[in-house]
Amino acid sequence: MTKDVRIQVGVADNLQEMALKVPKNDPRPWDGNDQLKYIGGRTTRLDGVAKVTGAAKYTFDMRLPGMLYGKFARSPYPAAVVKSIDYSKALKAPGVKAVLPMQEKLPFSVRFVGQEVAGVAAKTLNQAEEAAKLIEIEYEVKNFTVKLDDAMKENAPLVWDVQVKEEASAGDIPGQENTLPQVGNIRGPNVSARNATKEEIDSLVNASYVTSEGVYRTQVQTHSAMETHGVVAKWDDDKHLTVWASTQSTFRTRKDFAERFELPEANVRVITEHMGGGFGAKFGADTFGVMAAKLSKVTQAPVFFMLDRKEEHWAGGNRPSSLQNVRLGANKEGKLEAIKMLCHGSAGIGTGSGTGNPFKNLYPCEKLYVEESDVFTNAGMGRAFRAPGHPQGIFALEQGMDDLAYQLGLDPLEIRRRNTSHEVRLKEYEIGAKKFGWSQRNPKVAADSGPIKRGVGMANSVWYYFYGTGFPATIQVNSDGSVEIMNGVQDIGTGIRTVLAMIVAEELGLDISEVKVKIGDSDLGAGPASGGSQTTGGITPAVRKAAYLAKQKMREVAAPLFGVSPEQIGFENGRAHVLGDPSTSLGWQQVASRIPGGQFKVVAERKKDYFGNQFQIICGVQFAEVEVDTQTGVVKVKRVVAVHDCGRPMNRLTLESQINGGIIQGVSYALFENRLLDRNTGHMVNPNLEQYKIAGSMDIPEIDSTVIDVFKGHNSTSAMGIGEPATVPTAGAIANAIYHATGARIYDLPMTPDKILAALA
Amino acid sequence: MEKTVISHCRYLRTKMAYLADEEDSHMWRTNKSSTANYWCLCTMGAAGPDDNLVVPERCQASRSCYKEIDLV
Repeated sequence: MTKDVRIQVGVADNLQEMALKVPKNDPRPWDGNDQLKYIGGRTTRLDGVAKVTGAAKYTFDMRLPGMLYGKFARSPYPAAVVKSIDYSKALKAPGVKAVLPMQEKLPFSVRFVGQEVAGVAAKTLNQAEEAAKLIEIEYEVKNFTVKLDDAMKENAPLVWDVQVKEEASAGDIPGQENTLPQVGNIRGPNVSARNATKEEIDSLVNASYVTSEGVYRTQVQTHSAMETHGVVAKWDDDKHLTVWASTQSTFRTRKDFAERFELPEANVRVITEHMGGGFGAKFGADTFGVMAAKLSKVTQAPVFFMLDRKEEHWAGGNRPSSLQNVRLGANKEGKLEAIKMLCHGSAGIGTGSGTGNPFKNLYPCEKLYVEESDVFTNAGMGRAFRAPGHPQGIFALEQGMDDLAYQLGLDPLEIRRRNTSHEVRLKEYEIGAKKFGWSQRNPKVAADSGPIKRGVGMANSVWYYFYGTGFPATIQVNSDGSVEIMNGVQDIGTGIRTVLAMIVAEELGLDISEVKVKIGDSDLGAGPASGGSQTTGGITPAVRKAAYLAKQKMREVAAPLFGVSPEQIGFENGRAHVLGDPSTSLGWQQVASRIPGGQFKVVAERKKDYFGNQFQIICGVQFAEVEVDTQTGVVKVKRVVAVHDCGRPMNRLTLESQINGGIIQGVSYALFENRLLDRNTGHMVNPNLEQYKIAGSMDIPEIDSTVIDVFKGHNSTSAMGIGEPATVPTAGAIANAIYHATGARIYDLPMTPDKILAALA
Repeated sequence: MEKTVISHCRYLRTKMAYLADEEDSHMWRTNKSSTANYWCLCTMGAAGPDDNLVVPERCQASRSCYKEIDLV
């Protein structure tokens, strides 16, 4: 059963009417004409005070009676075989309750410094650390390789030296095209092509009026979330496990623990009351989670197992490195005609270093050839990191676009205008350029005469709309009028708790303080994972529908009190009234006191969108102004103007906060962060936050963030994500600003003073 | 109801395993991705119990540690 609605959709000042069929019991989708009290406004975080006062309890803050502390013994070698493990000394150490191996069978291989070998549980953290040192591990040490260029050489030590006999053939593997060759340490290439073969692409680029060529390198960046990875695991009995986890997915992490320990999913509970960031590195049970649960089981005590900062750098994931060979060709007008990109990157012992997606998805270039290959090195495994592959790819692609513009004597903004017809992107250019004062820029490169040179640059973002379905949002209304919204979704730190309250308050006409939000607990029902920028787009339609259903129930309760039919009842400012006649009203609590049975509960599920697919582009643009000291090579980012979109903005305050965070992380990636491994030992030489440089308060530029309203009507809230798009363009924009300031193009991240001076020499 | 058999090991994991729709929950195993890193739920690492690399094309029935997944 459906109903017909007509809604206003499009970019804020260019709305168009759209006819739409929606399920009969769905609310009318919010559109561009709706004047809403909370949605799109600026609401401070509900948990803000608790967070700044320390009242908010993170996994790291968990303390349970009788709790033990877990610690790993980790490999000091980048490549070795663990032949034997002697626990006897560790077991006799003070406070030690249990020691367990990481893998069930010996021997097993370790492939990077810091890989987990065994776990200890002891009464105190210090005792666990000391006992871990007493575990005697016999290693057969092997040759290793930690540098990308070294690992690509023909005679390099093999990271994966045992080849699996691959018996599958093209007819028995769905997606057989995914099978990639592996030669030496190189797995790939993964090829993507549009109207061009590898043999053709160079001549297509060469035939263009103007070409840009560059070899771009990007470094390994570790996630460095404020709260490190970890869990507290507690067996309630032999069959029931509770895990407090710093995780980006309570529900699927529950599934991991259930499958790993052969328990019914209903017997596992995962709780994430508050979380100190994740950036893509916190999915699943993980090494420490499994070890904590094992240690908890054998000791029959809760086990606290959080990584320290060094472990976080070693084994907590990272953004892979890249080496990108880029060739672009454009016609006289600046329209891209051909793109070639060959990428090798290293995610350590794992896969996932590709940077090709921006090349494939940002500009509608007809001729494209992209190859992406993973290069295995003896280093900690890469993990998804805020827009995987995109800051790397944009750093290269957007410098190439800038180069084409300067060669053609075009404004860098103009060449980008000529390569898109996307209405949202063009609007963002217009707003961003005006706010930044782009038209006042000096078109001349390296125009300043003194040693301190100023420059401006810009770069695009590109990301995609993802969402999952099936998430149940539950609302309970009690006889005292209190309203509870419940779902298992975790707040990774971006403010979804507040957004849920805003939606319920909006729909029910209540004050936001009257809505109690219960989230971060797998017992509250499946919620979306906080990854792929899909939390808000994933859960808000279900929450709005649950609120809408609750409103219908409250109408039924109120109608007899007014002597009218339910559909004549409206709710506003905490009161019920007859629509069109606000003079007579009853308080929300008065109506709630008449709820039969004293309370009711409604559940609504996230369904598929009314139309469209999951691969809609999310745009975004950033403009940067830098100051380059040509005597010291120090770059100071003075100002960033960012304009982004994410469908209909829910809470503008926390959205801008996410954009600010994305820019700060982007500045840090562009100028400072760099995991350094010693070629001779395989050890990370800066596994802390002192030598592993992260942008500090003095490095943060003046930031002006704008979120534009894009009303799509694809579901009842039109919300999309912003977490990832906000960090995609920053490094590229800064690199382009450095070029404008100095005339030197920097091809290598991070853009540290030594590289600036070398480029200027 | 028709039974769908996926040829990949049930313990294969990547980030998309945590994001995928329930109804499309096997798609991430077969979709082509250049940004996915994989791990094994048994070892929690990039190597499976047989000490070999964990990637979709290798986590197949030919491996000694393989565990079938049946989707209904």
